[in-house]
Amino acid sequence: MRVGTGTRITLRVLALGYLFVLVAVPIGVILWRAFEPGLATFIASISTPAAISALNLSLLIVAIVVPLNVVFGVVTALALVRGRFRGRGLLQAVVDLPFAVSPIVVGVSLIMLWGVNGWFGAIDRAGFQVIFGLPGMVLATIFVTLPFVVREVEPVLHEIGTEQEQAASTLGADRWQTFWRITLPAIRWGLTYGVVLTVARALGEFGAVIMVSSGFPGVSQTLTLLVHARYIDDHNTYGAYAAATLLMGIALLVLLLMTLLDRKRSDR
Amino acid sequence: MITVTAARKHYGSFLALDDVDIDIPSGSLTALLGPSGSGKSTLLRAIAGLEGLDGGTVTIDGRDVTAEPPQRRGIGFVFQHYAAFKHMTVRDNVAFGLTIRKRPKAEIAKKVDDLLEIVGLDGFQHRYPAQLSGGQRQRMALARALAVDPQVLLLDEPFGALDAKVRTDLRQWLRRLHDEVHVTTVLVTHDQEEALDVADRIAVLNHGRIEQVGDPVTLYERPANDFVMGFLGSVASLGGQLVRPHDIVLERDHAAALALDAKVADSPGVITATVERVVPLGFEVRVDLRADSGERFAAQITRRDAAELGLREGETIHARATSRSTVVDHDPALAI
Amino acid sequence: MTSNAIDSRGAEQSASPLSRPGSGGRDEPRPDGAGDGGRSGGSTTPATKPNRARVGAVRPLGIGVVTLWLSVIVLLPLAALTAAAFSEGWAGFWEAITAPAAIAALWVTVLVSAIVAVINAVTGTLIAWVLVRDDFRGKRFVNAIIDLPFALPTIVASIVLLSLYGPNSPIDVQLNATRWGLIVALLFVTLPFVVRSVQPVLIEADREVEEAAASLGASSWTTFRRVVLPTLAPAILSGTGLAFARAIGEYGSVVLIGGNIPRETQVASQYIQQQIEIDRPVNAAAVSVALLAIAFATLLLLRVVASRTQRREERDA
Ligand SMILES: Nc1ncnc2c1ncn2[C@@H]1O[C@H](COP(=O)(O)OP(=O)(O)OP(=O)(O)O)[C@@H](O)[C@H]1O
Ligand SMILES: [Mg+2]
Repeated sequence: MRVGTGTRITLRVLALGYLFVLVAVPIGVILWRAFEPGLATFIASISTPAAISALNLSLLIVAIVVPLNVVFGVVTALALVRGRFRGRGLLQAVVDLPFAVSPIVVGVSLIMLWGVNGWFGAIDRAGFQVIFGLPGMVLATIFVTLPFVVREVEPVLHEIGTEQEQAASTLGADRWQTFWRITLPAIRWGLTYGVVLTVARALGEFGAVIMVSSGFPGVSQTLTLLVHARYIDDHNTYGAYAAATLLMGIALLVLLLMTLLDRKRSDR
Repeated sequence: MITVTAARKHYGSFLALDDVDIDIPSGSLTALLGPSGSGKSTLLRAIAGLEGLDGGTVTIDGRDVTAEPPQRRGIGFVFQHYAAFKHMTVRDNVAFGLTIRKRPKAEIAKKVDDLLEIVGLDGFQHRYPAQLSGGQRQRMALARALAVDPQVLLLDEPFGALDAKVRTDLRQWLRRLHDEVHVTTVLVTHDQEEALDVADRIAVLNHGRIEQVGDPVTLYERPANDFVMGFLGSVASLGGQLVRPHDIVLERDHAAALALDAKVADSPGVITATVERVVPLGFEVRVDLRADSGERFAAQITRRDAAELGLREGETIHARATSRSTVVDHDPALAI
Repeated sequence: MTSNAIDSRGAEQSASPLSRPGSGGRDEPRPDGAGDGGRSGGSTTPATKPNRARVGAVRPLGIGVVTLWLSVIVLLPLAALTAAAFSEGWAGFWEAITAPAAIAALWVTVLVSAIVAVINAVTGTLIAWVLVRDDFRGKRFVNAIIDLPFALPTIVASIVLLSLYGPNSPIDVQLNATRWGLIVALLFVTLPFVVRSVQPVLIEADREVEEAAASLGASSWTTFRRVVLPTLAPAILSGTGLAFARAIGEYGSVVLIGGNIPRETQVASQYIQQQIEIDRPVNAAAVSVALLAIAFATLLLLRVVASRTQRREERDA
């Protein structure tokens, strides 16, 4: 389509103007608000005991969720790509399911399953608290991040096929050696990408986690819950801005990593 | 020595190997030859253990390996599409089997260097497979398979993905390599020229069965049936029988043709035909003929004979088979 | 260029069966010889158990583990949710989702999400067009910015928008506790869907067809409407649908700016959350199921439309 210079410039201004108003200005404003009182104030605000413990809790959840997602995600991807069994299509659909479920609905579902009055309520009554405890937050986070590793690893497995693994086995490698030396290196960038997405989402998840957390400052507050609590409960607007800015910094880092990894993957 | 007995393999209801028996003598270079889908790869992969059998046994040097996984069969396998480990350098690819076996570093280094020299990849140690040509990748794959000193070397159309020139070079090279290392080698190919060129024994497969096993000369000159005859070399159908086009003699004199033909046993007789076309092919000339019965066939004669006969299109000529010719009854049921 | 981001990938994937309906085409299933009962009589079966496993094949153990994992994490919670929704029978479910406040929340959700989806269809296509066909300094940066809303935690998105459009707005535009606030928040989080879905199609689009149309005397607007738009339509539709599905479930980005005013700005997810807080689990579960049903219906519709367009393309090809 040949567009006149005038039209082109108009369209460009419209598009950039939209992005400017919707994305750039708000982010500029929050950065300005967060750093206007000085760097020291900012640092003080994100290093209060509650903030530190929120960061720790968020990282703890990430540390639990990522290994689980890696192990089960890779096994799931292998089963979906290599398995020839009835119900494979169904498993495919189940893996995609979390994307279609609202975070709040995830939380409610977990309460209905693991809560005191849920199907597995006996566990709670026996003294092992799932909902309103760390296990609940972990389960919620796994639910929403479940597809990432699977969906990143699956296409790579498709692409590499099984010939390299067969070659390894004819050279004397057993199943484990083949997996560690051939399969894993072949899927490493896809897997890393999946892990980055998982980490980002795990740190940023809010709706599902707030439903299953008791939200006590310093105990069961993640970073996102902290932002929310500071704004709503403490009316500490500045504190909310500062914590949000911290999370935004992490998000930008993730974005950068994703850009680099994307290039790496396409180099392959 | 590899012995396969009563090997059977189904894919769903499809029978890919139908009671296959074959002995592959130690030190030989045997080609498995057959049309696409005849079960060559399946048989080779069953020997390797990459494919399980539904019935039958595989023994390698007297050891029954039917239940063994590939890694315990003492084999080297070369894949059509190289199966190069993309994330490893040439050096690490070749060293893989030795690393798995936890050999001392120095031994691995020496062995790898020796092998890379043999396959002509000296100086490519630190490249990645993506930085090699197809032929180089395949030589790397060969070195990798040979590094573990396999009892048998199995190659599945190793040159299939390469262009014609590289293909012929590599197979000559494989032949020389085999003459040096003498490892029992099985080569899958659907290219009869390749089989005749490198193998000292050829097994012809069709529809999951072995039609004939023998040395190239036997197979060419005394094919067990018309499938084998048709698959190795070109054939002409003369009076309901198959002969090689170059075994057909053309005579202008019908009586002389009859007299000479009488000396040949199993002869298809003398066929009177019309010359449809004379095609010069360099040293030889192909004469396309149509018998009075309407059957079309081609004869291949030398340029000199053609000149002496002075053939013209539309002329009538008498065709017969030479005395030493290979003649097989045509059995439509076995048609390709 | 990151063409993918956190949720977009997700949601793209959730609709990925869209692009390959009946997705069997990706891999020709070669039935593993094992277990098909193909062993016919007559063959000499050796005493040793033959090695039937193919290298790289998945053993039943792996499939069992996967099934168990997916069940515990995803299926059982959703099953428990559904059971809870119907714990007082069909009537109880119906009553719960037809309660005036529930209806209002669902209505606000669908209405606002639909508006957001439509705005996205236009602006997303515009942005994609500018990113593909236009050239200016800083284009790569702008392209990277598109993914930011996906990388950003939703609650942060909420705070970010509040800092500009909130109570002490520096530009004196107050959108908090209005439907416009909801719309802006949802536009922010769904920004990448249409852009990322249209962009690749536009890159692949055959420019010669456009030039041919122009050479036949069509104006740029006619060319766009008659030639470009039809090729982009499936991508725009799929991006819009995904944005809609995302918007109806959204919580974090609207929780602060929306104000949670019943019948005005309370969306379904906030209503559900509130029902849990006041200990009405059946109501919460019922509206959750309704919300899920809307999301599934949207994705299903997209899949049907996509497979139909694909079939048409195959026929035309
Ligand atoms: N995994 C499988 N599943 C189903 N059928 C298969 C499988 N592998 C092979 N077959 C079928 O078994 C038959 C023999 O296959 P095989 O690969 O051994 O043929 P081939 O002689 O090597 O042919 P080509 O020269 O084309 O490689 C073919 O008809 C093929 O379609
Ligand atoms: Mg083959």
